[in-house]
Amino acid sequence: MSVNEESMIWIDPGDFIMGSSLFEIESPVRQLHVDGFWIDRYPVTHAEFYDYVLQANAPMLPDWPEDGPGSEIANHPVERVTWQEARDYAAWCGKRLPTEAEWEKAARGVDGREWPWGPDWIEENANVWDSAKALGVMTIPNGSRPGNVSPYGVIDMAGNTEEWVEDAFLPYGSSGSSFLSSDGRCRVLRGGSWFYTSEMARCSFRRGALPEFSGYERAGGPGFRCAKS
Amino acid sequence: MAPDVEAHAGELRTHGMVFVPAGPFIMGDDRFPREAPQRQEYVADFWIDRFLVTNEEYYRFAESTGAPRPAHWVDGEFPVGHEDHPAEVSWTMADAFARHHGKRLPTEAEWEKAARGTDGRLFPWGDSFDAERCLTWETSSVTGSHSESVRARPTGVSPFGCEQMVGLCEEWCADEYAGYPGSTNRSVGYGIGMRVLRGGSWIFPMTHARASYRCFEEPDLDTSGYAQLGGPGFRCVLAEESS
Repeated sequence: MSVNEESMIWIDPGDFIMGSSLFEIESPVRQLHVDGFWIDRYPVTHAEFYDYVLQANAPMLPDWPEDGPGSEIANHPVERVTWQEARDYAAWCGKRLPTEAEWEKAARGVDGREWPWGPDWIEENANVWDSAKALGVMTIPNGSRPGNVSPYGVIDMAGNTEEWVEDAFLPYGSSGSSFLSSDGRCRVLRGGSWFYTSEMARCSFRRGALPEFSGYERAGGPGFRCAKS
Repeated sequence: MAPDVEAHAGELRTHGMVFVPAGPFIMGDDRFPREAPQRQEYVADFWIDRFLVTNEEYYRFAESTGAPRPAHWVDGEFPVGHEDHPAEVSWTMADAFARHHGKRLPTEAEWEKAARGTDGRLFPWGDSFDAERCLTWETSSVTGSHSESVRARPTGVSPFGCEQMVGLCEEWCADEYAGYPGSTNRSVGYGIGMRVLRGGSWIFPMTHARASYRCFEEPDLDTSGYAQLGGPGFRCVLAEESS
């Protein structure tokens, strides 16, 4: 399958700065080499995922009406997808989920910045609880916040929907963090969402969830984007 | 009617409360925009509940006053076996409970001082996150536990003796949600009548379980969604009010 250069972005091979010292589970900060890869410019939308459900005879998602997602959310990022459903979609497209390192590099580039757009928080740039509650929105259409762009041009890495990546959720290296969700059963979620405050939309933020997790009614749940080697 | 701390210090009203003596403490955290700037904040003497208000306590209040019950309770009853779990209610319901008992909700500064003491620590017990001392996403994501007794985490105790300050359920404060004095952070959530929530909950990870973490909700939050998501709880304060 050839890569659609409109919908995917090429990330050059090379080192980037991964991690953060803000939380032990994001530590240590280190240089990491990542091979070149393609990543979706936008998260997968409801319309795209519904098209797949119809063609692949895959299960419907929890919050959809019987006739599928309405046109009002067609171009919003898909929510409430399990890790396996996200993987199945990616495989059907001839793609895969990004690794955790690929996701973080695509979000922050090589210079270790805290947000896709730079070092400082800018509320207008990301749909998170700080503003979503006040504005009365849940997810918003992909690309609604012009400032939510990474150094590579990848869109909406911060907020709106959390995104599954391929990796199991484990402490980095020999970091002392350990708790139930980091014992290897969970998969990693990245990027925060409209339901969570800005701390979780930082490029290096990570948390784990069981692969069958699909979020909650009224709180939304995971989405994803695809990658390709 | 202003409660007098001296007159009530030894009486039943402070039963189950801990005393936090007047003085400065380190409030805020410069690393997080909504929590900056970090500064010394002076707080007068106050008493604060050692534990969150429980379902059973709220139920008795509703029985005797006719106050509204959480919409997620089935037929006006909390789940069997959850009598010592936190009452999860709207700000308006929490405020009414506190006033009925001659108390009030804590200010943000009081809550944070009760949670972290005076030394600026990140969590009630120290600077390192410890999933054994509080119920957060790090545990609930695997066990599915969305609620527990207000007395279930004695090792999570704060320097002043409060338990379950972080994790389990968020806690209502008296304050309207606004930017801190001197903050450069702008937010459309500031100054529009939202009320402050503190302490994170089972649904949020360790980021939200820090003593300086701030969130917010509308005061008349519809509690019908609380059966699955869990909602905010609260604890009360007793202080001599300056007029």
